Amino acid sequence: MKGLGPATRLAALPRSLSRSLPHALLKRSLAGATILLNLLIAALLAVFLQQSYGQYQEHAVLTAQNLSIALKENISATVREIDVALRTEAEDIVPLLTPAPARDAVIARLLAQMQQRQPEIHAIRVYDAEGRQHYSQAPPDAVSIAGADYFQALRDHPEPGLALSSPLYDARNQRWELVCARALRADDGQFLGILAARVDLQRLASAFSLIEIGPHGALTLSSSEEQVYARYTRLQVDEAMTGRQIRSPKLRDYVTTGQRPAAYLFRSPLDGVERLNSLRRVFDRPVLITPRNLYFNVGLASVDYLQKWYEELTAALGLLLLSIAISSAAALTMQRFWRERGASEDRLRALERERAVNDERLRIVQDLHDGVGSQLLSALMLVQSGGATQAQTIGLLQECMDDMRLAIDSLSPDEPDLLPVLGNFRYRMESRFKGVGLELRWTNHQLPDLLAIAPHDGLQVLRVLQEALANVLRHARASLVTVDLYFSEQQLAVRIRDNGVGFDPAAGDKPAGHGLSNMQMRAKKIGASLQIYALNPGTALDLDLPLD
Amino acid sequence: MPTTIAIIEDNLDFLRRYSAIIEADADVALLGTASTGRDGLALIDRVRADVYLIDLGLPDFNGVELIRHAVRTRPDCDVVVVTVFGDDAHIMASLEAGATGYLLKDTPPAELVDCIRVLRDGGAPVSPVIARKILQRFHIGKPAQPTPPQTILTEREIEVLRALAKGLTFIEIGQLYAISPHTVARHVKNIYKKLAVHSRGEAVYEATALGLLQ
Repeated sequence: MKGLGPATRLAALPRSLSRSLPHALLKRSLAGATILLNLLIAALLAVFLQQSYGQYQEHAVLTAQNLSIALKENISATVREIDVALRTEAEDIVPLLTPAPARDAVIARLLAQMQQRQPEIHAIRVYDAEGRQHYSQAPPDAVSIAGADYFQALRDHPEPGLALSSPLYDARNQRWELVCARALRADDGQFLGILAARVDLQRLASAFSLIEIGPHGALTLSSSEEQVYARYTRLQVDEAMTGRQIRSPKLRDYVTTGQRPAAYLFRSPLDGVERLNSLRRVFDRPVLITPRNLYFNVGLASVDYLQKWYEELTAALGLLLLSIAISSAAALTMQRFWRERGASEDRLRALERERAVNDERLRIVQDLHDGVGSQLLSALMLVQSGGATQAQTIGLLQECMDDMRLAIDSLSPDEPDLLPVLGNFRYRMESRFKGVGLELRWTNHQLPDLLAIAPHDGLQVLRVLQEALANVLRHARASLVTVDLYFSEQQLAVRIRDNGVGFDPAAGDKPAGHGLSNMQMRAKKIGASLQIYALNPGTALDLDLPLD
Repeated sequence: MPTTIAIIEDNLDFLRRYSAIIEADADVALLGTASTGRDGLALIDRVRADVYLIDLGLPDFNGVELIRHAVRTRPDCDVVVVTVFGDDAHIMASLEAGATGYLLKDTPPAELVDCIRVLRDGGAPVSPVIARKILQRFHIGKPAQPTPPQTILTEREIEVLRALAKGLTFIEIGQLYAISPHTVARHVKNIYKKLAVHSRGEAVYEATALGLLQ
């Protein structure tokens, strides 16, 4: 009974608009969170990839340097071994050449011994000061070598040292060879000729194939004049480049300044492969007369040493795509879940609203039935019976109108406050009583700012008051009626007193008969207590409605 | 000099009843009647009465429009709306159109003449329910809540309205603030006029917000 009726609940129901607003906000922040999460993952992956790239690069630099050191030592050792053999042989041969005639048989034996000791060289030959072949184990070489640069270098440089020819192609054996030669000089420095031997370049490059440098790596041995002696690439010796020049500014700088360049990245114009190059001088001490020195370069291809990194990159991108897919799917699912929940909440709310409206409709029908309906019926029956006086008919119809006004005032859609409705009733009654010359003294005690009573309950209170005052007007023949309303937090107490004829309870006399039981029923409906008793003179009515 | 009255009412029984009441009282004089909206407009334009009684339920015309027309044409006159049930929606619409009083159709004769007298005295009647509606229309809450600063009502008018809405009579309010009941009635009339201005303002405001006015 207490608390707010359905009509009020109806008014207090939130609009569906109030839900759609945070829903949009939720949707936006969900999208934001998804994007943020994926950006975070992308950033983490990027940091990881960057570090990993640095590590692979560093590792490649170290590898290139180590390989270049190892191979350079290998080449240097091979050449020096040949040099030592030639020098020893030359020292043995020089005494045999001066004074002439030469002792060919002795020389032949010496050369044969040397050939045995040094299987990697062949075609050991002795040339005289004019470049003509003096003696050879191999078939005689009819052509003078006086024009060869190694011959000229040895002849024109009095200091001891090894001279290397440019790579020479041996068409008969289909291989590249290299002539290694030392000068033959008398004790007084007189140039007597040279001792020369051939070395298979393949032998020099034999160590290359033992090194794992990856399918795109390259190893290059070249002279200080940028002439290629041996090149190894694509997992095999690349003879096509032998004897040619590969232009390299880094090499030129190295030759000029003697400053070894740090490992550097360079895209080769020959095959378009980017490599990390580590360049190294083969001989740190002067060994050669010509060319001035040999240089060895290890080139590790980026595609090889970064292959693992590329795999990591692919995996990371896959991971990122997966994360985007999963988080987007999750966000969409969540959003759909919210939308569906919102829709079901809306349905629920609509159902509740509908039920509230139905409840309210039922109450109004009930009110019509209890109020105007039953009064109109009484009026109809009275008039039909033919015994109704005009005053009686007017009275009954007036009651109908009064009840109608009570209902309109009480049930008009508004906040539940009984005070204005009570006020309207009081205005009407005061005017009514004044019209018949009866004094109505209405007093509000401790009038609050608001009296929150559910509209239908308030209507019952007003109907009891209406009935009571109508009874006084009809039957009491009183001159004064007092209405006192006592307001408090706990209850609304109504006290109505008149100084009329009253009634005799002992004689079974009932005030207003039917009206009393109606009033009792209404009071009971709203949980109020109602007492009507005789005064001397007059009648008293006490209505107490507990509030909570 | 009696107060002059014009009546616009389509129900002939009521028209006769009002005419009878007015003719029976020497203080008031009937100048003319009309039973349709069209005739009503013509009557307002033709006859200057002190008080126009206008029925809301005319067959050919919206009563509220007729009230607005009467208030515009005769700004120094009182317009009283006549309704069957006195439901607050209709009365509020009439007050906002500029009516300064309202009568129920079953009002006893004495009360009808009383109402006209109060109006010519510069006052106006009001019921507690209507008083509360007006408070709401001005967005004024309970005493504990702050009064909106842009309201055009005075402090005293707000006090009077609040007391009325609680069900206090003009006499009780007069005692409360040491003023006469007539003064209370005059406050009410001023409040009605401000309500009409306020609702015009609201209408302009709403129309502007809707883009109907530039």
